[in-house]
Amino acid sequence: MSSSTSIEQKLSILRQDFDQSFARAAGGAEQAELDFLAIRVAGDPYAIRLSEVQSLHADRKLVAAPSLLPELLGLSGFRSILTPVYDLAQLLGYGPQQTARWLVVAQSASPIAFAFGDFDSHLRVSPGRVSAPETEHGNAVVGGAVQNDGITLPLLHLPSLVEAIAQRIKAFGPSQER
Amino acid sequence: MAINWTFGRKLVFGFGIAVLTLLVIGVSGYRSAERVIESDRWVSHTHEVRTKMADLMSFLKDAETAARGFVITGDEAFLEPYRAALPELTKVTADLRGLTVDNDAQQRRLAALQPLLDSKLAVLKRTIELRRTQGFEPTYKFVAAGEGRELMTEIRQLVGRMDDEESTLLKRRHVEAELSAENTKTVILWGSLFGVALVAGGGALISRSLATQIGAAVHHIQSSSAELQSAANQQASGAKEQSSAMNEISTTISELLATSRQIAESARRVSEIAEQTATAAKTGDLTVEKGRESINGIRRQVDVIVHHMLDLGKKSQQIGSVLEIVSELAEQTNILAINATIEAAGAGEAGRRFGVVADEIRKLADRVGGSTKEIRGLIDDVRSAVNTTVMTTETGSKAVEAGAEQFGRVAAAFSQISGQVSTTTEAAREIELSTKQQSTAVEQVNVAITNVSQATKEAEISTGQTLRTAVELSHLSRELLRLVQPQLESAARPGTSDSKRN
Repeated sequence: MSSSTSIEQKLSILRQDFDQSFARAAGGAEQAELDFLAIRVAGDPYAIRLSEVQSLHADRKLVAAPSLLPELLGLSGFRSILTPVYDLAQLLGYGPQQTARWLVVAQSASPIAFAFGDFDSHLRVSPGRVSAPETEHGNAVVGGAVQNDGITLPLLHLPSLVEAIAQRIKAFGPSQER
Repeated sequence: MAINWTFGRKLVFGFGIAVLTLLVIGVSGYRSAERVIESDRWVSHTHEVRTKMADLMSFLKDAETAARGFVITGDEAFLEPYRAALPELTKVTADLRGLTVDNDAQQRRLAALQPLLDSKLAVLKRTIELRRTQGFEPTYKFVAAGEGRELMTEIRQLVGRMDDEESTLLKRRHVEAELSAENTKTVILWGSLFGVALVAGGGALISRSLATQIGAAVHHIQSSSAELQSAANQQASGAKEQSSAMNEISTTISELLATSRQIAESARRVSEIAEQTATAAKTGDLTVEKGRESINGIRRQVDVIVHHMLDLGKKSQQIGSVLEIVSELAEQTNILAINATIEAAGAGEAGRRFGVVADEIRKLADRVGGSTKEIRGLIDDVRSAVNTTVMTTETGSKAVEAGAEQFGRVAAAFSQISGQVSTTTEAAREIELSTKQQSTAVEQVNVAITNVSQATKEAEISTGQTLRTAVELSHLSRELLRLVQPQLESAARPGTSDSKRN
């Protein structure tokens, strides 16, 4: 009896929210909030700025390719663009993971994607709940944190990851890239 | 050996000797008398033969005298003796021939006499005829010729020889008769003396032997009567004890009869209770059978429940599969909404309103995802509950099967109990019947014991009579001993007094 009542209440809330979404004026308070993707890498929660992401995918087919970077899992096609996919866990210092079904394509000049284990949710939080970049962390790819429901999510900085990979590729040189 | 002969045998032996002696004497006397009689008969026979010969001569003389008178007188009346003598001569001659048939010499003389007689009679006949026809003178001459006289002389000589023969025989037969008479007298005299001596000696021996034997027997009878008195006394004492024991046995048998009747009544009650138990066992058997059918129904229902629960589990899996699709759709919708949001953000102001829509879509997708998770959780709960229910139901089914098996064993045990109760009922009936038979047998034993007790009393009375009879027998034996051996009777008195004391 109580479970059916709870479901009816949820249904009522959903209907109400759905109806109110049409009633709200365009723009407004949402502009002040920031969008994040809550993910898990090797079981640890992280957050990624949605503005740094070009697209989110799941269960995409990867084609293995030889590379000097062990983090490269393979190549995949996104909107007809051949994109290298790197294992985010290995880039963050974790060991190789069994599953990395989720992919984010980073906003970058050259196409690049990162694979990770789990996608939790899309977060929309106020700027006050986003902390400043943590310089003392010693790793540029992780800067700051996002507070959501009492949980602190380390904030990944995808441009830094892209830059780091570019630096490493450059370090190998063009002949080695071949 | 003769000492061991019985009383009757000795008497028979003694009387037998006497009878045999008398028989020998009688037979000898009889034979001697028979010989005397025979001798006398032969003497008479000889006399008869001589008489016949005298008659022959007399008739012949009568015929000659009659013929002579007729010759002299010529009177026919003188011929009457002649006519009477003719047939007598024939008859006498025949008699003589028959009387001397055993004497060949006399037969030969008779054979020689017959022609002479015939010639003599023929001469007499011719003489008479001459006198009658020719008169006296020729007849005289004929007679004077002497033919008739010569024939008569020969006849007299021949008859005289025959008479001499008979006279000799008569003398000899007289001697034989006298000898036979002497023998008869000797046999009678000496046989009588011998018989008297033998009977006297045998009687003395038998008397002595019988006296000795009867005396010994009387002594035995006295001893036996004394023993019989003692035995009769013991028997009387034993009969009294036996009578007392029989009374005790009769009392015990009566108690046993009462106990047997109580046992029969108890056996009858046991039989009734066993029959009631058998009826209850049969009712219980039916109840157990119904219970087993109910358990089988429960087992079938549990199987149906298990089947339905497994089906429910499969349906839950199918719902889970569908939910996976819904979840994946929600996930893909969320991805699309996120990507739309990104695109809207990249479109700047133009994409703001699209971003709002995308955001709502994302929210819906999030909620769908959340609801999907809840549903998955609920489905997991349902599946877990189904699994638990299935396991519980299977456990229940196994318990029901175990219960059914247990019920089967209970039913079998009930059936066995029912059978054993039937056997018990039969055994109780047999016990009841046997106990009744036993009661009847005990009653018969009681009657028999009563009869035996009565017989014991009668035996006691009979023993008293036996005792009195033994005493009388002792007296009788003493009297008999006194009659048989007077000289030993005084010696036997101490024993008698002993027996009296006994």
